[in-house]
Amino acid sequence: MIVSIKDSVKLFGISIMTCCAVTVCNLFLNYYIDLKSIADLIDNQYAQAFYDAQIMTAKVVCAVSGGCLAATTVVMLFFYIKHYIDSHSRQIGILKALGYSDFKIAKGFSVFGLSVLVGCLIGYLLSFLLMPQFYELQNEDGYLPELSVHQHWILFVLLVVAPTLLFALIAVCYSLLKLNQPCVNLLKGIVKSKGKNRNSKDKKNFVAEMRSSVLRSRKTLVFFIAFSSFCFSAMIQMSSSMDELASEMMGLMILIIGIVLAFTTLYIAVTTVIRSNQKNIAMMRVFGYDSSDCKHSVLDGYRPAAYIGFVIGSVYQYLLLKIMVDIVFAGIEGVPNYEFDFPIFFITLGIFIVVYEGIMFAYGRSMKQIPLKQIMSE
Amino acid sequence: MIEINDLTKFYGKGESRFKALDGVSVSINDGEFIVILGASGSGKSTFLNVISGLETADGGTVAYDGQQLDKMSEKELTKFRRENTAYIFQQYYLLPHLNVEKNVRMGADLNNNKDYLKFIEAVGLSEKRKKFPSELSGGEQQRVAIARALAKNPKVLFLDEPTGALDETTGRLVLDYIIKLQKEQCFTMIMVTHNANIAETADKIIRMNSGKIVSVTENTNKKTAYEIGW
Repeated sequence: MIVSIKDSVKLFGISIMTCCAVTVCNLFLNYYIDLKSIADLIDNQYAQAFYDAQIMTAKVVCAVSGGCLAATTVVMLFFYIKHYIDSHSRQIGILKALGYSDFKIAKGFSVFGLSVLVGCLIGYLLSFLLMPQFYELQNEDGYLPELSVHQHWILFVLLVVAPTLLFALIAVCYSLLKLNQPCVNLLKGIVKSKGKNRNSKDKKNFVAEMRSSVLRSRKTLVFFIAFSSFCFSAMIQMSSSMDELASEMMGLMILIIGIVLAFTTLYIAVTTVIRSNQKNIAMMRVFGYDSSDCKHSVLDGYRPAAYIGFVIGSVYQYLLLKIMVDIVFAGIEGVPNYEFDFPIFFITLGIFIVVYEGIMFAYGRSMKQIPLKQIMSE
Repeated sequence: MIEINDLTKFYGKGESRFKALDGVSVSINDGEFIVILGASGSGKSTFLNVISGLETADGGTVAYDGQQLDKMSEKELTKFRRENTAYIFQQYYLLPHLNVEKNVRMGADLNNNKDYLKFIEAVGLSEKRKKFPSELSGGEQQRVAIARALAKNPKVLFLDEPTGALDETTGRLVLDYIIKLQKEQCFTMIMVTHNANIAETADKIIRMNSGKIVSVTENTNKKTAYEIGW
């Protein structure tokens, strides 16, 4: 089997993503189910309005964060599979030449479901660690009758078993699609998507041309970089509003999830782009391009995506909180008014610029470490 | 002039440590065409890597017109490569997502050479300048690598088995073209090969074995790429 369990471990980005998604979803869904069980015990108008708002919150949070993270996980899985097939095209080509069917090879990709299983299991267990305090904070003002934590197997099936099987199936289907190419192309390492000739841009210098070509060759990474800064921007700004709107615990949870997702995605994107351009970087250095030229051509093209992601994150968190406060919690007493927090926006932007540019600078410097001899010995 | 003095280079650690270069000394004059000849494992590629500054030696010196490579910082070495050298490898190493013209610009831009199209024309690929490496044959890809290296107007051109991956017809064509250009532009050319026939085209032949230079011969009977055996 060409794909091993060891390869599945490399998909730690998927494990982290699913872990975050399941933690949040299980917290709110478990609370939702337990909350439903006390519906009959609610005896006043205030409690009813609070109950309705809590139910709505659970639905919105699960749909938005669960949906968003699930979609990103699918994109990440596709990216990993494509990257795996591209980097192992010769081995796969040999298997096909020996007579292995596409389906037989694709079946091996089902082990990628293991990384989903690991992430979901950790997220599921983690949510139970947080649950007692979460329940307490949700009903801090005592509007609702006392609520205790119950474990619901249906959620284990929906949030752990089903995603594992679904992602394993998606991995097999997508790899089947990607393996559908002539054996000789795989053996020669010919990539299906070739570069495009753009006559209008021929006036660009080599570094600028290289920058565009790096961007075009791995478009998924543009999404990951934008997603990374989206998480950073949205979660940090949202967490700072949580003290007032919800609780410190909620704010801290959002902050940790945001930072973990942002750095994991950025790490995956940047290391992939550098690894896949290692030979090109070495060749540029052999010819006398310095590390800042290499950084300009390989990393700087992603900067607009990063800043666009940041802006979208800011707008997203504002709209989400506005909807929660003005619509979901409209009838609840004591909910503060929510407006866009410009000071927090500018502070987050400042931190983002320092962190993002600092990381890119460090990665740019790391290009110096790529041994030139490596290119000669291949 | 390139002066190489008592070069040593080790690989490996402990019991597997071995001497890839063992006290190599030689001088290379400007504008010479040198072939470094030797069997696999003789140290010829290591020698090329060290004298071109891609690898550092464990002992000895390499000096270009008195400038010692081992005394240069990483920044100075980059500047040195930018202004003086170019490389042609056996495996071409073209940038796969850039077309022929843009690959050649990789060399040309370093020297602000706006007239790079003449190099594409010279290697006979004008009509294929918008093609991508995957759409070219091995010989055509090597010609792109040559155009890319020459568009840099190097003072020294290093070649590591440049015809190693080519068939005889294409190999002779490529070799003939490189030799002609070297004569026209008078740059120093240092080529590594295991093919003794190719050595007959050079001005000077350096034979290596077990990390040592065993002979340096002036070639008085130079042949063209079409006169040698293959």
